[in-house]
Amino acid sequence: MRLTLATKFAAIIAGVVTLAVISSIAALLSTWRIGNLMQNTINENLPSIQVAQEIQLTLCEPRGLVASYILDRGNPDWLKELQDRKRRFADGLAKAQNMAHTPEEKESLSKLDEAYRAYDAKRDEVLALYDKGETEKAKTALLTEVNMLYMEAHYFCDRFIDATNRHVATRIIETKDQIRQVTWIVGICVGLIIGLGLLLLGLFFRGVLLPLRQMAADAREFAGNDPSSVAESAQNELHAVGDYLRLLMSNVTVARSDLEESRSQLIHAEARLASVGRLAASVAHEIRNPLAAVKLCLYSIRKIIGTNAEVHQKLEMASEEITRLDNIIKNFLEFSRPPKLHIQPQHVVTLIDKTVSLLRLPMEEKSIRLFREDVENLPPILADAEQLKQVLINILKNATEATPEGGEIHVTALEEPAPSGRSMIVIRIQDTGPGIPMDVRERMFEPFFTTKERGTGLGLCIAARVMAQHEGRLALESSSDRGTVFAVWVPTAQSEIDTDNSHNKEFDNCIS
Amino acid sequence: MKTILLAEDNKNFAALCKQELEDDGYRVLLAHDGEEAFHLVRDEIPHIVILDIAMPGVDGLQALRWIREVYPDIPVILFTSHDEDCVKDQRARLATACVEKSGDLTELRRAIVRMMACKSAHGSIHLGLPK
Repeated sequence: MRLTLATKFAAIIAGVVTLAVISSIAALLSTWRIGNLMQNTINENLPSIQVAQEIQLTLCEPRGLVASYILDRGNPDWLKELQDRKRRFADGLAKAQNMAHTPEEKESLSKLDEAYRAYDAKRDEVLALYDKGETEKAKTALLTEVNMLYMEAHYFCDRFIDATNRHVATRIIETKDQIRQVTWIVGICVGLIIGLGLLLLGLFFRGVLLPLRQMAADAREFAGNDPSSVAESAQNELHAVGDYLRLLMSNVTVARSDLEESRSQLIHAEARLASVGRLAASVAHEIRNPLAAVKLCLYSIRKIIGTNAEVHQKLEMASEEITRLDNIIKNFLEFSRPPKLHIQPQHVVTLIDKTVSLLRLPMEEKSIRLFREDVENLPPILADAEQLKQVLINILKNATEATPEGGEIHVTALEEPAPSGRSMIVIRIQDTGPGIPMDVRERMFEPFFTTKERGTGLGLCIAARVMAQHEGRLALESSSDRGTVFAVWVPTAQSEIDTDNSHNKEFDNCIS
Repeated sequence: MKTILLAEDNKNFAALCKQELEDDGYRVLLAHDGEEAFHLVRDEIPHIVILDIAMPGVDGLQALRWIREVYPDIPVILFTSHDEDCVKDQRARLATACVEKSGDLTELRRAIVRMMACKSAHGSIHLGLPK
């Protein structure tokens, strides 16, 4: 499917807009995603750190309370305070256990719980000893065993904090990784968008701008030949193309009216030429009658005067001139009323052989050697045998006249396709004469143009026309001081199927 | 004596031909157009009729048709300045022969002799047109 300019434009603009929308959405999504990740990390990890610190605090705080109770001689306020702290510790621990994520945290919490219970039990024992009055024993236990157990609980508490910290650090690293991933994805998206954008831009350039610019350049070059060309001040390519197009359209209008005019002139000229031709033909016809009378008259006179040699010779000269005049008119009549062709398949080699044999005598008189080089198994040609023979005789006669004593004439036949693709036989006649001067070459196919003293100037013209009627061609292929080559193109019988009406119009100027 | 009718509008040419043919021993009647020729044929019944094609008024081809309708057995020679005239027109097929005018009448003489010979041998002849 061919894309119109409008479709291309629409597609490119739609593409660019889509890309812009996609890139905006990607940016929004990435911002939202990163925000969410941050929020999650903070929400998940901040409370666990707080709880860890809280339980450490509530572990540390009640440490001196038993000692204070003992020193304060059993003031129960301290015990109340102790109970309060214990409860807060239990709360914190329960919270921490709920929040614990990793097995390490859970393990250190359960160890802490165990150690705390032992510590708490030992503390209660100390209090019991004190209450029984064994103060010294209680003091010793407090300083040694309770302290030991506290240290142990504290150790596990530290481990829990470490584990929590490690977990948070891992979570942060994970979040960072995720953020990096999102950044990558967004980056890739942006890269793709830039790439696609450039691609579309390239397509736009190649599909729209460059052709437009080329068009403008072509138009400028074309209009450059025109003195009234468009001013260089055109603002851009599109305007320039528009200007050139308008210029061209005006030129085309002028050219069309010119063409119309010359066509009507041509039609008139053709009609005039045809009527002149008819007139000339009838004049020629009329002239032959009195000529025949004159000739007959001369014949009678010759019979009457008998043997007077001088008069006889003069009469002979007059008779000869009349014959010549008659020949000219006869040629002219043939030329103005060309005979109808009887086209039939012919064997080209036989036809050439027959024609050449007619000219053997004049060639032998000048010791001209004849060379025949035909390609074997040539297809039959479509031709009027008599007319084609006349054409070949005409060219061969010219060649014989042009070739010096002892020269050569080559006649070759081969199959070659015409420019139209039609299969043709080409008969080439090459002599070793002095060549045809340039000014003669230009005019040699014109009617009544001759370089011979006794020529009618119609031979080549009629020959060319006969070949055109055959839908073939007669052409001068080359001519130099080493000789001249004439080519006769005749269609083959095989090419009959694709005959079109494209007759060779080249020689129509011969026809009256 | 055998009679030949010659229809020819060019008086000089007609007179010269008449002279030549009379020298050959024929009786020659002259007509200047087709109509005159037809009347003379009717009146004289010649052995051979020679018709020029291009003549004022009734031309040779029209006269040939008239003669053929009434006297299909008289040989008619079309005598023309350009022998293609005999090929161009269908009516020329009615003629016994077609001869081109020349300086010495050789062709015409030959045709006349041939026809006279045939006529005396068979009574009626019909020669085809020359190719």
